[in-house]
Amino acid sequence: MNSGIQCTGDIGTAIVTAKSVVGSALAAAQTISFSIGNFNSPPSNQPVDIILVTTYTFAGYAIDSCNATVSGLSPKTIDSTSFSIYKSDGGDMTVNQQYSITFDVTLTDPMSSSDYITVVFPTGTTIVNFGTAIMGGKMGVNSAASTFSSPKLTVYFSGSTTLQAN
Amino acid sequence: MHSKGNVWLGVVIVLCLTFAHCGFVFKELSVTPANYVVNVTTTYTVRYFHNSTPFGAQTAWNTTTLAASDTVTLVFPNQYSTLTGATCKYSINDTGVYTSTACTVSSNTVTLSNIFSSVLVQTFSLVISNVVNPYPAGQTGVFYGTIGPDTSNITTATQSRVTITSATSSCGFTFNPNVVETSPTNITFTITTVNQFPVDGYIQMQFPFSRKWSQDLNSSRYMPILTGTMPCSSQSGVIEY
Repeated sequence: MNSGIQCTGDIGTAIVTAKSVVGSALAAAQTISFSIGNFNSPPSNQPVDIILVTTYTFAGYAIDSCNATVSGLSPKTIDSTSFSIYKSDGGDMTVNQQYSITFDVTLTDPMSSSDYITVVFPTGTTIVNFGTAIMGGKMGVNSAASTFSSPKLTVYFSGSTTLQAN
Repeated sequence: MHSKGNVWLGVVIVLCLTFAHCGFVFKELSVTPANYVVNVTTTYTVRYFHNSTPFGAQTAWNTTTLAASDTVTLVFPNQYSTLTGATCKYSINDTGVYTSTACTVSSNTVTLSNIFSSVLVQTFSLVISNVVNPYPAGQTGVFYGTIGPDTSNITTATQSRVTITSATSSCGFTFNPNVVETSPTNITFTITTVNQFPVDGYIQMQFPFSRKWSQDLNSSRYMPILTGTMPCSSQSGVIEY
């Protein structure tokens, strides 16, 4: 009878081994589940990194193998104190008027110029002549690639800048 | 040049005579499963090449007819726990035509009888169906084969091994909390096995060799894989301690 799952890692191979996984032999087509603590999650939900999982006999012969990629991660919430919208030239905004507005976002995680931002406006908001709108910021905006399909604005960037988290 | 060639010819002849006296060594016996996956029931194709020695010289089998009393045997390595239910068919001399026949299974040996009728055999193909691949994966022991009237006098040194591969199961991993770029978080693996898992078995997770999530813009942040003990816990409902 096993006394409980034990995990060991190896920095050199980036392999983590779990032993004493089950208390008795498992028949085929069963589910095994275990967790490793104090880990870190990837910066996005994009399934680009593969983790290969293999089950072995005590003598080291493989039984089953599979690979998996990340899924199900949620984005971080940007706290309301880290996000503001204001009239670009200062002052108050009046209803039903046209303005240039500025978004200030304090990043919680680093951001690359290959990433993009979406802003969903309240229903009814329009951007007049979006094709000629001037956009800019700490990272150069790729105006030609950016789109507005009410109510969602999608902003793409240019260059190879990386903004670190605050 | 001519005299040197004669010397080599003489050596080959001497070696062949030696084998002829102690029994022929088949040139090759190849064993090819249709499916290499552990525990899968599949078909094995076995080809006996016995018209030449390992040195390329012709053996007497080229000129010896096999009679109805001659048998073909194939001995599976002991990783094959059962051959019950195996069915056989064969083809002589690569005609491409296979003839079904009963095969006798005794332990790990499959024997075909009454299949020859005064025929010269240079190649022999045997197809055995309903063979269950060994468990677990890995390279098997040696297969041995014989053809002929006097198996005790025929060296069965022809060898072949098969490398059985692991089955493809399904798995996934999630995080708790399940938020991007969060540390610490628990990573939970869930694996649905295809085959049985022994009580003393173990599981390995191969993370990206760089120990970095490829999209991580923080160049100094690595997966917290330690050399040595790492914290983990069972989440499985089937575990009984």
